[in-house]
Amino acid sequence: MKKTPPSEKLEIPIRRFVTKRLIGVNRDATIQEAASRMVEFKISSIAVVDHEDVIGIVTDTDFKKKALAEGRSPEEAVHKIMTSNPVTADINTTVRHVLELMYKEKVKHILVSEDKKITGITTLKELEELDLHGLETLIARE
Amino acid sequence: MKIFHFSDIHAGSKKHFRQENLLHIIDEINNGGYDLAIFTGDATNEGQRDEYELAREMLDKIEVPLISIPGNHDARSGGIKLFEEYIGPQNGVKVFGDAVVIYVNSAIGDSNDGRVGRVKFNMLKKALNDHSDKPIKIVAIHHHILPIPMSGRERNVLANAGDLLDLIQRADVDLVVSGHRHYPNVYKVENTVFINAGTASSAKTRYGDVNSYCTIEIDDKENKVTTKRLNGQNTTRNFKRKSKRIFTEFGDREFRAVQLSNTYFSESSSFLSNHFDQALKSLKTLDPDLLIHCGGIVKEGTPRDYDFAIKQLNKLDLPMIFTPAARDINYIGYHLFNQSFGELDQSFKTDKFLFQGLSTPQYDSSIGVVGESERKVLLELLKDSPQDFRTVFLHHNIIPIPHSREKGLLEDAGDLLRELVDADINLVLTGTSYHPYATRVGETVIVNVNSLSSAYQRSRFGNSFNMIDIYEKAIVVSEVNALWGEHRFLGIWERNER
Repeated sequence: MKKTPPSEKLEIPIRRFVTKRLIGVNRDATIQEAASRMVEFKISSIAVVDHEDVIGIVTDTDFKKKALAEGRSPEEAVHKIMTSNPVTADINTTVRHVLELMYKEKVKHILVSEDKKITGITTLKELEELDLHGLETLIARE
Repeated sequence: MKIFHFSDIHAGSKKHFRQENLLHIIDEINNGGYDLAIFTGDATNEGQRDEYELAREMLDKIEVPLISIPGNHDARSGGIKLFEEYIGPQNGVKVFGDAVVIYVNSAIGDSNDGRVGRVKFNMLKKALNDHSDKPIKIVAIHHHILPIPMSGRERNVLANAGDLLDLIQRADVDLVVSGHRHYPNVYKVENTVFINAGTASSAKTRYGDVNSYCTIEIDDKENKVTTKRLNGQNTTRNFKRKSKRIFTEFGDREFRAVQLSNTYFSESSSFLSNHFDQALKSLKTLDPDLLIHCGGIVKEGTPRDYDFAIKQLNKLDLPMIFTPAARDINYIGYHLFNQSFGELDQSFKTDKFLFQGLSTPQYDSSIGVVGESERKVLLELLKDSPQDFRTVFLHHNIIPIPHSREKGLLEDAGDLLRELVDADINLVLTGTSYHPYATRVGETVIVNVNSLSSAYQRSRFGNSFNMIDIYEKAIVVSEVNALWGEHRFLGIWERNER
């Protein structure tokens, strides 16, 4: 049976592999509220939102580097520790492009946009699991 | 964009083919300002040459761009060859401005069943990848992917309907147009609208209905879908094209339910005791308000397996309700289930929440069915319940599940799905097919759970249970791996999106 070479899988648009739900907090929420929400939902990053627009992202690392190490109060607003203008990829770009972006920008989380509006997120871990999706394809065959 | 969708013309003998109805419909197509017409199969009744000649003569009268696909009747008597000669290619991809239409033949020669085999599945996948950036994506396929109401006990969805449903959802397809069952039906599943047009001109309608077709208007924000019956009765529904994607407001968590199935308690090697014991630890930490076992409690309905099950379940000190699978009530299980766990249709109620069980297996059979009388009783009960949040749980599936085949689907899934969605039931929990899946049909969130501790399961994520958190403003469903306790989201939905 002919197997799809790994290089071909990289040319697939990320649309099929994106988590099209995003958990966020409002920009004025406190650092503690953002952390609690991440714990509640067991997520490693959270979107910071202003009037339904994503204006930044906060990851586990930001809590360590920008909150704890810099001695910030948990009561300060979360937007102070967020990464503004986070790395974003269009939903139609290929897996290869997103992996290159992750490598160049040294990030593991990439926000995904459609029609210039953020609609989801993809992570290095999800893309690593692409081989599993490959297997799903095989089973989907009769 | 304005699309005209019709299906199942069944050109042939005067007894079955209502030519005057088809001519009326063609008149509508030519005078309604449509950009495109899609015909979803069964051009002929028996796949015969004279029928194809008649079908061709009819379709030639259409003056707008037309896409036609074959149906199971066209593949009768080797007629699929004649389809290509008289009508056109069986499969293909066509672009119309902002829209791409991918059309796939799902017919199997001389069979009423349907499938999309390896080559066509990959063609569909490739076309959806290639046209990922098209603002409007349409898939045309004769056999319906979701079960259709008023179909009696014949489910007859595609053999690999679950895989297709998953692909369609992942690729953000806007419209899926189908025929086959001669009954018009429309569902919104997440952001995809699934349309069955009914039959345009066959005399074989269901439940005394008349011939019908469907019109679709798509703009940036909405899909406006109108089912039109030839007696003048029109039903229009507007569907928002994009549901909420970013969740910032949840409110308080009001209820945490854990859904599990196929524990397969037995002293055989198919019961994975490590998985069960590890899951117990996770469950204690998660501290749910209720555990719902969707069947497959024991491997076999024998006293030995039931004794073992009770010993294992006694390790859990949490409120728990059950619905049986066929294996639970088989052999002497019919009595043991009652003795050990209570009624077949169990329920759990608070002021705000109702969890209502619905027993679907039949004794000594793998076929699940509810039946018309029992569905009536259930719907009355649900209608009269004062709770704001209503859940129905059962063993068999009411939508197709990825990696499974039709056998897990309830025999009257078409009717039950329609009735539960129309009653705005908030949540439906099912527990067969050994693969997790969650989606929203209309306002109803439907969640299937993988096996917790049976060696037979089909997900690379491994054996698992589902955690269902009901917040004031959202429903959050996560899958929790039985062995490692790792979480992943199966979905987040706004409560009361309408």
